[in-house]
Amino acid sequence: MKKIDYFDVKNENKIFRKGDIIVYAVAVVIIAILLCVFLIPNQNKGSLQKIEIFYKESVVFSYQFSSKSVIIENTDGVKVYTEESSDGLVVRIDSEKGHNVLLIKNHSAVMQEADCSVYADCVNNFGAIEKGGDFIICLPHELKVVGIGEVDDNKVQL
Amino acid sequence: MREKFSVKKIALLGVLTACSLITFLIESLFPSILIPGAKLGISNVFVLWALVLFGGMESAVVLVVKTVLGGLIIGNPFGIVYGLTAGAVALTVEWVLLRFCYPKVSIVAISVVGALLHNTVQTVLFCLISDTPEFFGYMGYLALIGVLSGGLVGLITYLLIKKIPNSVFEKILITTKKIGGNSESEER
Repeated sequence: MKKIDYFDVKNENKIFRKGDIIVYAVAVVIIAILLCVFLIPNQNKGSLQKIEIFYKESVVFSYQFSSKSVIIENTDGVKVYTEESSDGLVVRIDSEKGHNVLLIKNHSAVMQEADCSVYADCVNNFGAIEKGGDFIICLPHELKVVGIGEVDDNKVQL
Repeated sequence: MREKFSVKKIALLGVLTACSLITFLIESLFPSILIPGAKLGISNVFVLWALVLFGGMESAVVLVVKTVLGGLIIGNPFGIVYGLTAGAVALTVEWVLLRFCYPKVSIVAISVVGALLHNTVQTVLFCLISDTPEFFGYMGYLALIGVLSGGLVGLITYLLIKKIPNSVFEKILITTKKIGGNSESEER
């Protein structure tokens, strides 16, 4: 079996080859399909109405933006506390898995702290929840924060 | 028995792995671009370069060491799972392309294919592990970012291969080439 030879590769090394056209065309088609399939159903997200926090598939916390009402359901193994601060509503989630802090501002929510590791995905990688359908996931603590938008089924059906 | 890993080769692989790991760590300090988890993946330049220099097995070593050590250092154990699976898929396809289609497609295109596959596999894995179908909505964007970052990685690798003179790698590669060829243990 022929091995990949560096010097052969180097001799043939060109920035563009005819075969590239096929590769790029296929890539463009794949991206177009993925964008169409997964984006169009998500367009009618609506403005943010509600924040829900899931712990292992059950809702443990929900916050309604219009009425500013907080519902906490402490299930086994998780405790949720809220406190007002100058920045907004601070939600502390203590579970068997670990500790997270979510900050709910006027029209957004952002994960502020997580003690899973030095590099916390939910804090560093996920941005703020700003509209319906946005979410933050904390894998090691099995948490999911979901933003729920306006439910405007009547409008869409026209 | 032919000698798979000579001392010189191990040394060069070590340097490649170190470069890859360092760029990976520097990159992880920056927040992701627009979409959760999206980044340029410049560290993969060294994996692709190792693939071109030595072949599939050796570049897999660079990939595994980079992903496992990088994941442990930044403290993201789930990242190791995604990184290894997606990286393995991408590298395998890149190897096949380089081995069987190479002069017909360029290094840049091979890199684009790898990055696109890497991002798609990673997104699917993340959805399965975290049980979040919502994340599929990012798939198109991540594929697009994959193509762009893959193009950049491919371009850098293309320039590295083109600009670095043969004499740098001759001493390391010629011995392995001879041993890998018909005449065994001609030179030690």
